Amino acid sequence: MAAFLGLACAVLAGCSSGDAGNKERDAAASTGADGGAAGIDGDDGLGDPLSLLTARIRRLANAEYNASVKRLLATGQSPASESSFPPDFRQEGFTVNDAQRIDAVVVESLANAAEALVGEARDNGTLARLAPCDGGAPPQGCAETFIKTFGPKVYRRPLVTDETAALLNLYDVGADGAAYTDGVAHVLRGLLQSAGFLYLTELGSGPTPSDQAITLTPYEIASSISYLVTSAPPDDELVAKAETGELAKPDERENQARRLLRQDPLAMDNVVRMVREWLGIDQIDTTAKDSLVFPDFETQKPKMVAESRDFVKAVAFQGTGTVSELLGANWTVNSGPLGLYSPAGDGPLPGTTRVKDRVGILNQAAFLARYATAVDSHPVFRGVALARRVACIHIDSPDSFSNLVVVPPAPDPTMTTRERFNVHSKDPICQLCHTTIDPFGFAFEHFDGMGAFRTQENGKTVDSTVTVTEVKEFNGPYADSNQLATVLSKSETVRACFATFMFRAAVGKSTSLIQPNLDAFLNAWRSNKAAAQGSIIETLIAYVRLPAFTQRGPE
Amino acid sequence: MKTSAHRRAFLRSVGAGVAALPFALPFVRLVEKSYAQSMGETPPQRFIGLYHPHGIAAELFTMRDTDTETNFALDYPDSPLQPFDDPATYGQSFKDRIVVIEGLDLLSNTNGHQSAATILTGSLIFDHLPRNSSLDQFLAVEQGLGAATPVTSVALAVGNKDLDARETLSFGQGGIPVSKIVDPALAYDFLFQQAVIGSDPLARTSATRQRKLGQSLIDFVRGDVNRLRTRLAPIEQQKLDQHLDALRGFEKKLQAADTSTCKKPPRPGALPALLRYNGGEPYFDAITDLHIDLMALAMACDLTRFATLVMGDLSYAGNPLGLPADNHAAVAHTYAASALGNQGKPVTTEKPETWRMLAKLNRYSYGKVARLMQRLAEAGILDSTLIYASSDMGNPALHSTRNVPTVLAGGANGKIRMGRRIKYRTDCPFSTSCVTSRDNPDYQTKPNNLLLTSIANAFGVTMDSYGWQLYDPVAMGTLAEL
Repeated sequence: MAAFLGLACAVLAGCSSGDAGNKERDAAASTGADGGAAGIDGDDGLGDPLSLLTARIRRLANAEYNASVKRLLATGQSPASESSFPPDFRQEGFTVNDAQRIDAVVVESLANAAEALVGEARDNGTLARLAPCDGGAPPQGCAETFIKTFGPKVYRRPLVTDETAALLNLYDVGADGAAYTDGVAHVLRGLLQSAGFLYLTELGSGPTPSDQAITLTPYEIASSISYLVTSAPPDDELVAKAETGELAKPDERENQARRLLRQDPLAMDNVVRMVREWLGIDQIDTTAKDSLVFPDFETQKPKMVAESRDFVKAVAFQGTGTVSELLGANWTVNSGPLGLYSPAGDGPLPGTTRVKDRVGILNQAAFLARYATAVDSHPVFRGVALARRVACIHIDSPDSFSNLVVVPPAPDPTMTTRERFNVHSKDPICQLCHTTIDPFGFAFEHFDGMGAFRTQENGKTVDSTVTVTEVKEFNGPYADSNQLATVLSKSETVRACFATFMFRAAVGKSTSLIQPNLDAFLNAWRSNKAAAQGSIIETLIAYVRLPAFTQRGPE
Repeated sequence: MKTSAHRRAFLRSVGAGVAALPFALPFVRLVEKSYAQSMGETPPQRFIGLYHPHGIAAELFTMRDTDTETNFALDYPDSPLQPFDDPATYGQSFKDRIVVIEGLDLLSNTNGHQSAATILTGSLIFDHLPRNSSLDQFLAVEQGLGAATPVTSVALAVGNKDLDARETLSFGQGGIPVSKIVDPALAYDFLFQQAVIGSDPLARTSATRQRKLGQSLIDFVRGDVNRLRTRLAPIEQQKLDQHLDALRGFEKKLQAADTSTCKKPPRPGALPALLRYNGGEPYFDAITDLHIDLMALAMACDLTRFATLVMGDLSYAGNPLGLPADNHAAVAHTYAASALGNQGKPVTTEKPETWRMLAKLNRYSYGKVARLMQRLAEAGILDSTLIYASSDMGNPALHSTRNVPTVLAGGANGKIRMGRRIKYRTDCPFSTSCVTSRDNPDYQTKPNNLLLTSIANAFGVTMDSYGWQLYDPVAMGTLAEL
């Protein structure tokens, strides 16, 4: 609902409409970050600092916090949930970013969460298991053992002397006038609110900031891989590999990433999250419709949400795993809103169904309902989303034209949505952008505001035929968005755009700051055949393999 | 507390079970003596920023021909400002405690919706965010005016926790949004309670132990943050500065002795739904009232001196205002202004019935401001509490950020003369052709930056500009008339 004209969409510098291929840059023009052309295994030389991401810290996102406490304490709670924590601050729709902060409300939410987790750990024996003290051993010694064994798990690295001392002091305060358990409970309380836990670091081992490029510590590399792939802290095997120094090698990083993808269920959820955030369809969770216009929406919505997750999961982990299949599949998952679709027999995978009238994720209900209003379809939302996120076509915000006042067309029961929006074609200023946007958007018009198929609107026949004229790679006539999706699913531009967004999701920095890094990544990605064919997983692997993955430049 | 017939009808419509929940705080009885009265000296100044959606029906907001700066009527038909002159509902008339300002612009350089972030920051908006802190945070945190109270500041909202420029008033340094609290129960906890530290049996019975545990925890986390901070370049250090500020806030609450002259109110009960688009809308009115009461109570008890409230959109079928189910599409965007609401440009079709509909929504919003004033007056702190109420837009159908409705209310201990209407010349008076392009040398604007600077000065912070406007001279200075 509400005008999404300021949608959190990536604005990618350098792309202009009509020049969809300009992401292809000469290798020579790139800054050669990986020292010896992309894809050479085992090349760990420090690359050109300009193409390195800068050293930084970032706060755990809410999902990462939940996964981290779950890993540490086997808790049944998800404290950083919608109801109790402030929401993630998003950068261009992505929850993993370095603009997350800890403010007064977050500090209290963290304190309350820590209290609940500590209470649970006391009650269910977890704390006793993590911090045993049997056989008459002196309690302080037990506490020190606890700190030295569990502390590194929380901090995701060995502790330094000051940290151990500070935690021991917490024990002393907690145990003073009370019991050993109270002391270690207080240590746990502190650990869960510590900077070492809450912030991921990409700083290297130096005590002060460097003005040279640095290499991440082995533990930082382990955390980077783990949080990238699973949104959770590194497991014992990953830490062990880190400690032997093997993660300096791209091959071993790849092995570990693949292992996690195979073994850890959180990896699937995480990949799903990245894809959903790429397209913005995660916002279907908070989309509502006017119940007078779309009385079925509330019943269908949970299925739309489920589909937006399960379909991505099925494609990535059971199907071909490519963005081509995401965009071009003629099937969906059985947990989807099949009642809105035209099912046509079993799909290619278990738990899937062929659908006659839907091609890929852009024609599934979540995308269509999310990019719409409470009462209507919205061709501009859909067209802009497609242009920016799928094709990486630069679309200026209306804001960037000073004094341009955008007036949405008034509701009119005698016109179709397309007819109302056709004012764009009459106004020369509107045309500047809308000759690009509108063909994409109008192609979806046979789907109403909740994503149901329609042939009529306000008593008139819906027209979804379009001709794309401004985007070289896609120019031509299309009967509808299904045909369009089929073409997009085969496009190299779209694959590169997807890779761009996956990089963006992985790196968690504002797009305007990372162009050289992106160029370096795309070079590597292109020379990785499987990745360049649009494999979701291989794209992530290509990122993990980058020599620049383990290095950071000075600020 | 008087309940209007309207509100009773609303409560009936929402259901008896809901009405039975403790929505209303027994406000008057709790505040035995105001802080001012008990201290017997000049009360500290407080600031409340308030956002209301969907702009304004300029035709019904503007000064009447018969009005002067200090002598004006608010009770004409369809007046959105009428709540400020409604003793029957709000206990007294507040005409002498408001300043209504026309002609201020939000120089956000962005779409109307995102200009909400400019209201208290005065900043241009880039990538959906302002570039500097909002005035409430600037005064409370950076200038330390919030240091003396247990809670440095609070940011409340109705129905929406999202931290985008379009729905956030409070921003910390660097333009990073401050988390908003939407649940009145959590707002209560934040303002009136400390987080409970220590759930072991001993801690549960001993406030001393809780305090000891809490302080050691804060000291530990602070030390840990500082250890990390030394390893960072300055720009990264800023990330931790906010964490340190937050820890300090947490510590203050812990250390605050229980010497308040106020009794703590009962904690608001759980509401069936809180969030927009998820069934929260029918409760927005009650939530707004609770937030207002909590803010006022907290200020009366000097628990905080800085607060913001982002009001929600009461858009749902059967809403008590009798407005369409979708205020955005059917009220804001159907508003067909006269030339006055159209930046002075002539119009072909003006529709007075749409003005009245939008004014009804506006009157609801100003009714909430009046309610807040009533509460503050009951606590004896109205004259030392400055409220700045604004919308993100002027003409909402055009998403215009020009001539946004600005109401100051309460007072700044006399430093701002209240009880006035001020109308600045827009660049499009009726008699001349309209100049809306900033490239045109005849272009005129009165940015709200000037108001923010005036308010800062009224709070004892001498400055000559506020808000990131690329050193544009037009945004420098104060509103001399204040």
